Amino acid sequence: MTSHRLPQGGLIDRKQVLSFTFDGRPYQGFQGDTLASALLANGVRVVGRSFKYHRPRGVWGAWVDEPNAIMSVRLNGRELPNCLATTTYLEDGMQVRAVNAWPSAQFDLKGGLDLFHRWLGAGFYYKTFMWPNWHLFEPMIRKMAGLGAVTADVDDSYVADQIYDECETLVVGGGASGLAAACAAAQAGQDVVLVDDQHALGGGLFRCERVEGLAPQNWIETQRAAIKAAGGRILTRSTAFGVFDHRMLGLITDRGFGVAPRLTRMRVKRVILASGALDRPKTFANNDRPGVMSLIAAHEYLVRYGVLAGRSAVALSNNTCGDGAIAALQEAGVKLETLPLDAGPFTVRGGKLIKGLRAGQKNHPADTVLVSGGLTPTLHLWSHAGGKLSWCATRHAFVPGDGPDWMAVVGGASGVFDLNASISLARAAALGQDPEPINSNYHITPHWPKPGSKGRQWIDFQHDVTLKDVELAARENYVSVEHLKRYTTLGMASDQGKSSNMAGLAAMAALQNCPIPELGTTRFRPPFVPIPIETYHGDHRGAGWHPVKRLPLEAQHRAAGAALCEYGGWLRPGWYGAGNAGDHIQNEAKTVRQTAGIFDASPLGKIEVMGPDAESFVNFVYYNTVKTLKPGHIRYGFMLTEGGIVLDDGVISRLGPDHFLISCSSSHVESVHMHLEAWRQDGNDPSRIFIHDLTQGYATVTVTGPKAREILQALDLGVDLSAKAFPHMTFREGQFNDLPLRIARVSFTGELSFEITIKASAASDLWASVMAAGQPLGATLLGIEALSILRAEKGYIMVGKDTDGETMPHDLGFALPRIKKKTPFVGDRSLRSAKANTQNRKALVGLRAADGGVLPTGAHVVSDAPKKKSLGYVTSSYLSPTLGPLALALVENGPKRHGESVDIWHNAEIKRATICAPCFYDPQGERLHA
Amino acid sequence: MRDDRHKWAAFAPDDTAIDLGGAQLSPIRLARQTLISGPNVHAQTSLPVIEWPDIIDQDVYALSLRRDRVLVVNGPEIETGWTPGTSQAISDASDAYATFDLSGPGAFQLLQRGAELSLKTRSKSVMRALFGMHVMLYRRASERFRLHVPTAQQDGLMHHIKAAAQHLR
Repeated sequence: MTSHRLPQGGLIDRKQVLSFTFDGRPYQGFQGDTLASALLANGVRVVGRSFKYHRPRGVWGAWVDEPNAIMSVRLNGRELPNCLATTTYLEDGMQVRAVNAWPSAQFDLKGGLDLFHRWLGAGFYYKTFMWPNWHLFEPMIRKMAGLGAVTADVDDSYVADQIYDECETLVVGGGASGLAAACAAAQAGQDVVLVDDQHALGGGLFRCERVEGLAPQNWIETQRAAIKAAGGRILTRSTAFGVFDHRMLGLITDRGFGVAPRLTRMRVKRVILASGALDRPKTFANNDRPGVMSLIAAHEYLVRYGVLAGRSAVALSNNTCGDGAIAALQEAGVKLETLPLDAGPFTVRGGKLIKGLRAGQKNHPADTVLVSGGLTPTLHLWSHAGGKLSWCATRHAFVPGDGPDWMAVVGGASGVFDLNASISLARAAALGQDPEPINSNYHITPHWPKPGSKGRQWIDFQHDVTLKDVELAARENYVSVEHLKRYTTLGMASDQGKSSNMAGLAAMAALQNCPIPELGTTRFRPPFVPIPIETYHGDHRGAGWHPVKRLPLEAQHRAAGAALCEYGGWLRPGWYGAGNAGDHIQNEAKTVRQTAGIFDASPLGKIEVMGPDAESFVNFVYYNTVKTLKPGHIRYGFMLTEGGIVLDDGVISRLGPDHFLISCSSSHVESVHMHLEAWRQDGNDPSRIFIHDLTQGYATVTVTGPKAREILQALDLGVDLSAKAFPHMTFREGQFNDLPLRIARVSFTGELSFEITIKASAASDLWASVMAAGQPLGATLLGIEALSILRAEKGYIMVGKDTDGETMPHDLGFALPRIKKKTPFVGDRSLRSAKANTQNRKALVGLRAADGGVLPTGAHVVSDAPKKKSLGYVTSSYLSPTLGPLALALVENGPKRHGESVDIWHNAEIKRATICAPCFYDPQGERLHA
Repeated sequence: MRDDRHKWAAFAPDDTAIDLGGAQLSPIRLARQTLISGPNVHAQTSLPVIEWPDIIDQDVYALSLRRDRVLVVNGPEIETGWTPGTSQAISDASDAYATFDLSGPGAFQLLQRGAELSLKTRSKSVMRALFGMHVMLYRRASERFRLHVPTAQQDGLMHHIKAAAQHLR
């Protein structure tokens, strides 16, 4: 294969030779090469296959506008799919494969699909495979669709860095305009960040001979040094890929192949957008053949990489920017013939290798066809920021229209393609000065697709959208640009319209016989370039993905052999002991009923409400009446949403006239705290109510069971624990090791229970003492699983498990406050709605299976009527060591169905069960009041 | 019901400083943390009230959490509950927050990986969402930051700080 590398020139380091393979064949390149430049230098023409027809494709562009050269790259055991060859820098040892070809891009087995192109037009699969059933064909089509495949390898070391940053002025683009703007802004004292996506600053400057009297490299270095000296920051290999709310820009920094990128969330005061302009393809027959390349890109390969795109070429250009490129390529040794636009119609001759270009009836032999259809300003970020596009009739391009006042567009992105004018305007923009009028030397002769013309003419190379597809869309009335895009896939995926939008719009405009601007444009969305999903992932993985909250007694639980599970965001003991979990759970539940259990209840909410309006506030946020609660007493209550739905259940302790303690469910602390704060500030006087969440500052040790009192008596807490002196639903203040503590007589097991709350730092000593006191009496450590059995035996609910998004308090047997409470409360009005008062609401019941088995949680309770209907479902179901299998359920009109026999349906199996009251154990509450 | 005791490494807080390469994370023991809320609480305290990005090098001070709330650090022991005379709600929060100092030349960059922070923009509150957790964050010196994190979440925060420190190296 002939080398297309010139003996000198370019920004590459020729001393560093890099070896790589492409589709299994070995090649060499230099440090500073991209994959594309290295392949072109080695004379490789076919770099990929097209998406649908598997046509051979070559390199079109030199940077982000490349639609064809998409690779899977493997290096050092790490493989990444869909790497754009034009933006992936070459590294030694890379194994590169084209993504949509097998066994190689040169010889692709699916290349034969092109023979059937007449039947594979836009949306063909919607039409062709409707009969007999689309789903028969869908798997095969899906398998063939898409580009690239992620390897099955799991690589935990591929972790993106994520950082927040800020600056006053962000300059996007390190070309002439960007450098000039950044330099002027930095020297004016602004905090400047310049971001450029290539490793070498300069943008398209290397295609120029002189810049303000200097060689490009010297001018760039002067600007760079001035920016740095003025305190500006420069980020190379970094792409601004999106503009987000409140002037936040996403920057992605390439840290080398196989290293996950860095995401910078950059908050800015203003942006100077100097993102340049892209060369457009021209639409003519077989314009997708390998060797048809952007004229500007060919120039770029010459100046940056010392690579000739071809030896003999034909050039088609309709604008003055192509003139310099033609001269430079000719000077570099390309035998180049320029054809006038009126010499057409044009047809590329040849297949994988171009033989030439037929213009009208005349053949022009060449190995390369270089085209320039005019420059399209790169306005993706402008569009992200809400900027409008405005049609310029002289430049035949969309330029910035109305937009945000904090974003200025300069240089090629603003439609100014003259170097000196661009620099001058960029400096003015940086300093907030009014731009001086310019006389542009840029001229373009419109040369748009001609509907009805002969030959297969590509509009979108990446998605195999042809002029005929656009014509088809028009015939089928998909004439809106949004419909055109979705019907044909024009401008989708990584291309995002960079190379295809203008031709597609022009073709549809011609078909509609209207000017291009009347057709409208689609809105660009982030990201500007494809970025790995990992970019957003970063360190939020493994233990860093929603870390659990840790108990102050975790070490003690581990030492006791606890099986730790996540419950409501906390890592808590599910049960204690190794081996069969079920046996341990049964033993724990049984021991509590017989002697006592010791339970770590530290995550229970401890939210203090204080202030002169605390009483009326707590009374307002609870369904139950709280204002009658006396200091030293505790009351069970429901907190409701405005819709009357149960948000939480818990107990309220009145610590003083103006001081309440809300003990909500462990997993609801944050939501209850937010709920309280919201109501405090809405409809209440926030200067008379204050809420402190102290949940994590205190530990709670619960001792429950018939021998609980004996255990506590051994601790000498300074409290009279007798039933008479310390009744159920009251609390007392005591002391342990000279530290204050609070003991609450509340129960979630139905047994005599004491909840001891102490500062978290003293929890381990208290725990040890309780354990020492409990062991001689046969007390057990109690995990959440056994506790769940005990509470279900008693018919105590868990909000969220035994309730759903429709459950109101009267569905749980608490109807009285709704009837008797005289003052307003959250959810009041909703409880009086027609829906809240229908007779067939799902209400809490108990269930006993006829066969003595455990009913599946989630199983449906089904009516006996001939037409089966779900009446509700099982919410909790356990094997109780004391009572055998039992379950709780929400069932329509449940309280009136006690004694009724129903079917329980689950996974096509039916069991019989009897509905009963939800309280299975000690319904009179004698044990709990003991 | 799943035994995840091995998924989550045992957590036992100690006083050992952790070298993060460019930064150091040191657990701090405070004598007392007192949460005080009230309509005039900022004006009522004689202690320096710290906002972002103030630097406080004293041992006793108050952190401004919001317009009606401060956290007094190392202050005197005072009776908790509602105090009608001063209209203050007072709670002992000494065990509610674990405290760390993050110091070193890489400390700020490390924090920037967990929160959008600016030394140029003042804030009346030292409350921040750092790596998704609600913390109090302020400065003890130009390169020394102090963090108060809810006690049960200190392990989660340390995990994130250690992970972020990998990017400093």
